[in-house]
Amino acid sequence: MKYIWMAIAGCIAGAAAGAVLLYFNPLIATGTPSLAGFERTLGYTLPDDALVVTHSGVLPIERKPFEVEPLWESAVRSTSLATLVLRGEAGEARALASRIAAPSKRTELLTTGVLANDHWLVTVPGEGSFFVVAETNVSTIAKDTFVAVQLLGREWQGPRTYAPIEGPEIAGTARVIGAAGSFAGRSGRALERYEVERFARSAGLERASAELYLALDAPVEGRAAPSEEGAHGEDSAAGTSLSGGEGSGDSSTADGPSLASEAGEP
Amino acid sequence: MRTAFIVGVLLGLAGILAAARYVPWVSPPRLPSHTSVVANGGRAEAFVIRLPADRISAQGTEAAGLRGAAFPPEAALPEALASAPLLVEQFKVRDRDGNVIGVAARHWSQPAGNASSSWLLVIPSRGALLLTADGGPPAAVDATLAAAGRRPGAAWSGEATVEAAPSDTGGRIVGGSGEFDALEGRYSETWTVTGIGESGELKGTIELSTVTFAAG
Repeated sequence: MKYIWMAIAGCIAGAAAGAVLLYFNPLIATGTPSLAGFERTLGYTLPDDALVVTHSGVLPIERKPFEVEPLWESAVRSTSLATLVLRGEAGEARALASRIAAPSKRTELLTTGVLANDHWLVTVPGEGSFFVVAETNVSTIAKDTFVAVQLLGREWQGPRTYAPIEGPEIAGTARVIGAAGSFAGRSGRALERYEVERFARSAGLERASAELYLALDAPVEGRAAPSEEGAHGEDSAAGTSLSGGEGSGDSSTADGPSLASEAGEP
Repeated sequence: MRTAFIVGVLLGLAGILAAARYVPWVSPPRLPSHTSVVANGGRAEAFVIRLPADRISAQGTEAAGLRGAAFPPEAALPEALASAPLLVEQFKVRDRDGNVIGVAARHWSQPAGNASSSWLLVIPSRGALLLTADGGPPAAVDATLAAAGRRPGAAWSGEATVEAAPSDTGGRIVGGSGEFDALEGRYSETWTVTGIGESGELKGTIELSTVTFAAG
């Protein structure tokens, strides 16, 4: 009997050691991606720039506005949806994005981490729309916020910066697919970086800011639908104006290469 | 005794690591897909949105007409975005049997004078479909309802159909993820409006009929 109790005690100790190993697991940590080839274009802050945030109630961010329909049905219970105002570098509202995220079935805690499928539909008024398809690794964020602050009751050690996108494009970047207007028929890559400024045990995420970095390929003749060729006629101008707007003097245009000119680079 | 403890430790450690690796931590409920094979190849599937029950939010400018009113009312567009033609709507999505299976966002805008609409349709257990079409004229639903006898600001009941992306000219499936990765195809979008409530909310359905095939 003593042997059984010792084996059980050993199992508990081994499981605890395994849990510690998983907590500090370097295999699932997110790296610091290079921003070379990207231009900082669109940013937002939470909660100010979120017009709508909804989920089933399990995420550590309040639904907004209070009356918005929660995602309570079993098939969408793990999903979150947000409408975000995206801003240029001067802080002016430039675009509106719908963002839908759901945990990925590829999630496993030993080698890949906690993954989420993150999809964006972004519309820049006057220019068009594009999709962003991303696979994000939220292991590090979850460890620093949910585990450390909410489960273990520690103080938030912030602000902290995260770059959780890990694919599906090369070098751990998200895929951009042009949809309409000057973005139609184009593709590219994207990265997102968050800075979580305040996180509380009771209220969850209190303040964060993020930037979406974009690099779009140059438009290729014949790739867009015929009906959008009219829009492409202005593409060389419109495609560059995601940062610059209509000659608005947006500092992002002056600070770095435009999206289209960037596409010409290797 | 020491051996029993060490064996226990190894078992516990191996058990936790195996669970971390092999337990399906994320397994969203998946309902059967109601797909059918079309004659000339491809897979057909329809998605349905019931109004007003499935409407999550909407933000639009004046050009978007009836649907452009902020919903919920607190979620209005910032002033800087309120001048260009724009309509952003978000819905829950159902399968043919009426079960909620996903969430969708629809954006309508008019860049360079060419109206276009795009759908992001996410089904957590399957993936996402990315759709785009040349949009109808601004406030197309309003115009159809007016033609059907609805007076502005008044409640209305009846039946009016708007082909937002007609099946002939149609919309395009430009990409996807998960099960829809590397698929392309076409879709049609049909709004069937059966009423307008006292507060202006639409009643009816939106049907997205898709035909997908492997991108080649």
